[in-house]
Formats: sequence, C-alpha cells, structure tokens
Amino acid sequence: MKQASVVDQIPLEANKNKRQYKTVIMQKQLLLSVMFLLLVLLFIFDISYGPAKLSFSTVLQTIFHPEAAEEKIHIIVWTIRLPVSIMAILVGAGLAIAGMEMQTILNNSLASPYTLGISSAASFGAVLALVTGYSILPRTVQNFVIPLFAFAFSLGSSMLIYFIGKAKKEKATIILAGIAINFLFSALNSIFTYYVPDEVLRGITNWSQGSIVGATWIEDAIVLTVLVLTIPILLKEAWKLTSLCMGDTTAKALGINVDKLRTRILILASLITAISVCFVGTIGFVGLVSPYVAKRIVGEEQRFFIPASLITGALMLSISNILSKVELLGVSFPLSIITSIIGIPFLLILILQKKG
Amino acid sequence: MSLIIEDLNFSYSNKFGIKHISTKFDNSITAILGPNGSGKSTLMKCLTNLFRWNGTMIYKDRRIAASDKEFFRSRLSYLPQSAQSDSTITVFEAILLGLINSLSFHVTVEQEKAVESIIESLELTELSGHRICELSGGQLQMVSLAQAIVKKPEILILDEPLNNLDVHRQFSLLDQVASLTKNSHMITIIVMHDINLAARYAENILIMNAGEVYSQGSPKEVITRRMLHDIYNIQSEIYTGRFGHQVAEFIGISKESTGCNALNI
Repeated sequence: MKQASVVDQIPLEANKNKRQYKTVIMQKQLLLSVMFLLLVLLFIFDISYGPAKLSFSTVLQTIFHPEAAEEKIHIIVWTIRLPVSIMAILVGAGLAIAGMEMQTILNNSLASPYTLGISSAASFGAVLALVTGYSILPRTVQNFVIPLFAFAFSLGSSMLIYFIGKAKKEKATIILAGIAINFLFSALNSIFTYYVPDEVLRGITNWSQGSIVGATWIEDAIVLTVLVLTIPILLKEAWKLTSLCMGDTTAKALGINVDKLRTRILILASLITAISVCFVGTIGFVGLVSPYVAKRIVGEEQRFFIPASLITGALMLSISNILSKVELLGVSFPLSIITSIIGIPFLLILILQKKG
Repeated sequence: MSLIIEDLNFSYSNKFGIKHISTKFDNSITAILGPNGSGKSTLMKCLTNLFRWNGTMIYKDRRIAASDKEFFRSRLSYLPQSAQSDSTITVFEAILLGLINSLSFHVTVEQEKAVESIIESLELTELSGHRICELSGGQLQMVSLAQAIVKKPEILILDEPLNNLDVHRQFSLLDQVASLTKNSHMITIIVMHDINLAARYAENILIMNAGEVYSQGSPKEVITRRMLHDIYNIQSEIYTGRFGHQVAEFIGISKESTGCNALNI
C-alpha cells in the first residue's frame, strides 16, 4: 500500500494561501461583473444615441414592450439600431477572442487578426464570393456563402503565418509577414474594383472601410451562432491554453500536445475572424487592444482572460460605434477610423515594450 | 517498485542519439552524470515520452508502451531544464497547472488544497500571489519543482534543476527532493553536473558518455579517478569526506589525451 507522501502529511489548512487565492478569484469575478454591467449600460446608450435621440426609458420600454411603442420609435430601435448595436458587440467580442488566442498560440502580443493580415484575407474571401457571381443569389444564401469564402481565406493565411512563425522565431518576423499578407489582399481587393459593376463596388468599398451600418438580424444570428459554438470549446481548453504562456517546454512536460492544440485553436480563431469580418469588413486593432487591456485587468489565466477579452472587445466596438455617430464639424467618421485612432497608441506601446 | 529499461535507443534524424541503454531506477535518487552532449537530456526526454524511443520499459512488472500516454501523464512528472518565462500568471496558478490532467473549468477544493500544501512545504507562501515574470531564476526553479510534484508523481525526473541556483538554493532544492523521495517512495532521476552533490544525495549514479552508459552503481563504485580521467579528461583525488560521502577533488585537466569523446548532440 502506498504510504502517505509529504504532501499528505502537511496540515491542510494553509489558510493564508487559501484566503489569497479565494480573494484573487473573487476580485476577478467582481471585475468581470463590473465590466459586463458597463457593457450593458453602453449598449443601451448606443441604441439611444443617434440623429433621433431617445431616452434610456424609451429604449428599455421599446425593447421589453415593443407592442406598446410608437411605430417610428419601434422602427428606429428594432430595425435600425438594435441589429447594429448587437453587431458591434458580437464583432468586438469575436475579434478580441480571435486576437487573444492568436497571441496565446503564437506567444506574441503583437498578433491579431488585423496585424497578421488575416482580416484582410477574410475580407478578400468575402469580396471574392460577391464578384464571382454569388451576388445574384438571394441574400439569405449569400449570408452563408460569404462566410465560407471568408473562412477559407482566413484559415489559409493563418496557416501560412503559423508556419512562418515556426520557421522564424523572431517576434517581429511574424508581424512583417502579416504586413505582407495585408498588402497582398488589399491590392487584390483593389484590382476587383476595376472590374465589378457599381452595385458590387459599393459593397467592396464598405468592406475595405469596415462598417457595421446596415447590419441585419440574420447576420447577427449567424455571428452569434458561431461565437456560441466556438467560445465554449476555448473555455474547455482554458487550462491547456494557460500552460502555453509558461513556454512550450513546460507545456510539453505537463503532457500537452502543443502542436495539436495550436492547430485546433488556430482553426477556431480563423473561423471567428472570418465570421466577424465577413459582414462588416476589416475593423482594425480590436484584436490587439482588447487582450492587452484584459490581460492587465485579470491576468493570463484563460478562464478569466477569455471572458475579459470578450467583454473588452465588445466595449471597444460599442464605444467606437457611439463615437462614429458623433458629428465633428458636421462630419461623422467610419467605425474603422475610430478603432485605428484608439488602437495605434497601443500598438506603439507594444512595439516599444522590451518584452513582447 | 522500480522502473526498468532495457536496450533503449533513440536517434535524431541526422545526428547520433542514445543507444543500448539498460538500467534500473529504484525508489531513491538516481543521478545521471556525464559531459555535455553525452545524451543525458535525450535519455530524460525518452523516459518522459517526449521523444519516440525504441526498447523496453517495465514499471511494476508491467511493460509500458510509448503509446500508453495515460501512464506518462498520471505517474510521471518532468521538470525540464530551466527556462525564463515572462508569463503574468501567478505562482499559485502556475503550480495549479501541475494538476492540468485532472483540472476542469471549476477548481475543486481538493485541488486548491494540494497546491496550498506544496506551497507550504516548499516555503513559497510569500510568493504565492506573485506573477511568474517577477520571480528570480532560483524562485522560478522552486515553483517549477512545485508544479512537477503537486500531482504526487510516482516517478520524478529533473533535468539539470540546479542550473542558475546559488549554493544555498541548490542544497535547499536537493533537500526537498530527497525528503519527498524518501517519504513518498518516489523514483527520482536527476540530471546534474556537480559530482560531489550527486555523491551526497544520490544512492545510485549512472554515467553517460557518447550516448551510452559508461558505468552505473553506488557513488563509491562509480566516482573514481579512472572515470573522471576517461569521461572528463580531469585529474583528481577521490576520498571519503567528513560525512561519509565520496568527494572528488579536481586537480586539473589531464596532460595525456584521453577518450573524452562527447558528441555534440
């Protein structure tokens, strides 16, 4: 019979540590709750804010009692603003999750769908679906074909980045490869503009600028479905993903099949990127900024890092959506310009940081 | 209870590896010594199933196949050569990762207690809430040891755990490992370079050279002037120290050429 180990012989009530750990967990849960509450408030504000300003109570009444609302208010809230505000949250969450998992598996805090060119590749896939004739298909069919094309290109470029990262260990190399991919697909997108009819051209311009205006309920439902299906898988792998931050050698010593895990997560991150990009185009820096902020709030333990990134991304795009509705000297700016203005200082901080 | 390996072989794609390794590891500390590139770490990676080895491995009278991943995951812990980490997870979380094969989304009270106990026993209480990136090399090494032993392995493999540690920490780590090995009846295998510390802490020593076993046995049997001359090309005097351990006093590099033929693996 196996004798008791030293571990067994030590008194179990190591109260100090226990309190410390419990307190840390409670603090993280509290922070996540506060962030979520803030997101709910911003979401309601986002719906209330626009050319026709609505009060919080009007918005809430129209959401919870739509039958009692005035027709005009009903249309503003349910047809125009709600699908867009929900899309902001979903796309923000999706890009943030994709960014944080790319950073985790590539061990590079500069990685994100935008900086690695994966958003551009996905956008190209979506545009390709349009210009190769799928535009003649009914909108509902397009809604499924476009994401498939976006996913194919997103996955292809992710794999390319992954193999470049394996061959060249320097963190900057992967970003330079991302810039090259970005240029490539931006150029390919531009080529299409010379050949397509005006109607499709408008769609391409929308994608290249990145815009959530015009988002529909069916698009929201598709993005939501993908997120609901993929995020639980990431949460299930939370501990394995956390072990990657200790380095490959340690993760392998812990019994993790590191290469298999990376490939699986990269496929999921590519899918999330594709679905986030295919209806709204390339929106930059959300996948870079959100994990940066979330890591500083809850740390790298993925059970908390995943939800914190998700909420931070949703917050960032919700705020950007509100700001994009503000008129400055009579002009309002597209969403992607606002995320870039927020994101570029973070990118510079990350580049200047000694440790990636 | 012992781990027996017979005719263990592994070769890198274009380089030499290890060949015909046969030995037996008992419930005590076995030190693996040998010059750089002699195949020590390669042997460790075979024992931990990180490399695809050929040969026979027997544990508790049962033959272990390389495909028996559950055996390697549940019974064995491996502490690789120290690596710096810029991770921002806390010491507590890092040690918790040692239980990764049984962790689900919700950490159980038993799992928390297991980590707390290890933190107490390795005197890491003060560091419990610190982030990994804030630790010194020695502190990180102790945390890595805690991570390796928290699941109460039956076989513990440490690859050069004393690297970057000052003398005090070297003794501290080896004292902890010796105590654990004795109390938990563990099979502990340590790759190290310090011959005198090996003589002091290990009951068995295995000397590797050029991918093969040069000699194995008790410190008195293995640590000889001849071995130091053959393997390290070093002239030495060997005597019994004050505490009864074999002590090697190094005089200098041997003048005559020897068969010191370590390979750059």
